[in-house]
Amino acid sequence: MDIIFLDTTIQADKFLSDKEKKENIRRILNGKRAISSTYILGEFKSTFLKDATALYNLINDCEEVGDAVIRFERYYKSRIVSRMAKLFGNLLKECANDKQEILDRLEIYIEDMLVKRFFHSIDKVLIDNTKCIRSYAKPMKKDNVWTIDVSCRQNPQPKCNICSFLLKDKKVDLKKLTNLSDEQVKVRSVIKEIIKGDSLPYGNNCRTLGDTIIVLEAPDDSLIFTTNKKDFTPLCKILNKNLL
Amino acid sequence: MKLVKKIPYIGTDYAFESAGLDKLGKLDYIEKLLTKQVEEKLKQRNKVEYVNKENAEILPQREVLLHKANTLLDRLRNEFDDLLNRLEIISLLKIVIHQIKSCADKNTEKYYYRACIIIHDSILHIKSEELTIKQVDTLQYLINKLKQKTIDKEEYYDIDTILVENNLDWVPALEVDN
Repeated sequence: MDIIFLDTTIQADKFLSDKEKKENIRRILNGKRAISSTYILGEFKSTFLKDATALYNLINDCEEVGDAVIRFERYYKSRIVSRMAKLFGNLLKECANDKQEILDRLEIYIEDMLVKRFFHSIDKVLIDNTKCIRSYAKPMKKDNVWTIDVSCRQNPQPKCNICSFLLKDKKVDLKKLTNLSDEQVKVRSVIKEIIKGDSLPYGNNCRTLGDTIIVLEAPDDSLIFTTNKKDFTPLCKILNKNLL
Repeated sequence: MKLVKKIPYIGTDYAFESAGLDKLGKLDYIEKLLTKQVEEKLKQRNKVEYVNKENAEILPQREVLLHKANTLLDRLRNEFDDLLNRLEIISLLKIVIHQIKSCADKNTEKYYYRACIIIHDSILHIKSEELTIKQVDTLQYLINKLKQKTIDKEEYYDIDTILVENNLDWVPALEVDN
């Protein structure tokens, strides 16, 4: 099997991790066809890109970088994913606390490189079953403030294809997932609600079903590549998908 | 004494008082102003200009720095086996690329400026003892790209790809827990 389906964690680890992990991923992907999806791009943008813009605005809002470090701890502890926190630490070290140098680099990540690196070494055409609206989000700069709209709510309903994908294309598979164990009780109950028609798969529900959607859209002949084996293994087992 | 004359005239203490400055604050303000002017004067006095041998024209700073970078790369290749010299040259090269970046305008020469940053940071991450001749060739190629007057988005993206493919990634290695 030569097709590898990269999830969000691997897409990030590809360039935002230690040297050993990066080399390991490169070695695994070497000579294989690597693919990903617009849903994964949307998830990537709403975590890493969103956090990079938040970090830029925080540093920009502080007179000195030291203040940003203090406020970073206070405001973003639960929000910024560990990679962005580590990146911030590295930028502080490498730019010798020079605010402008740090902002210049963050701007490179925001405007160019996060998305460019997402597409590095994968098929340029992404699987697009969900037509996830978050994947279209573009960072914008106005009055020296970076913003990116990665919002997705139940109301107003986003113009995506997730409802049709889950309830028409993948209804049989989705029903199988009502047998998930108690370890994934939250995912199981959202799936049951959606099948019953009590709830719609938008906003928080869509985010809760993130791993499920990724497994469902992975082609049958592909190997799913993730660092989150714990959550993916039961899903792959029930749906008879292959995990790398 | 000449410098003192250049202090802008502030007629009465009123201006300082309205700015919330007492006498000490006023002295502090004047001292800062003087220091800045002295630094500026010294900078101008110490400025070295390079001249083209052929036509006696003053060379732009960027051109001089690119020449320096190339000379350093030639040295790097010639003295590659000397680990101590390799370390020294890499450190100097990093400074020169930073200076080239400083000559560029980040708004009008956005991608040139950013290309300098990513090349600089990739050099920053080099462990000189692990450097290969192939990587030296890559750096030479990229520094030659900086000789261009402008760099567009596509070329800047290419530079990123070349760096990654030659194990010269400018993105720092992060110790992350998954």
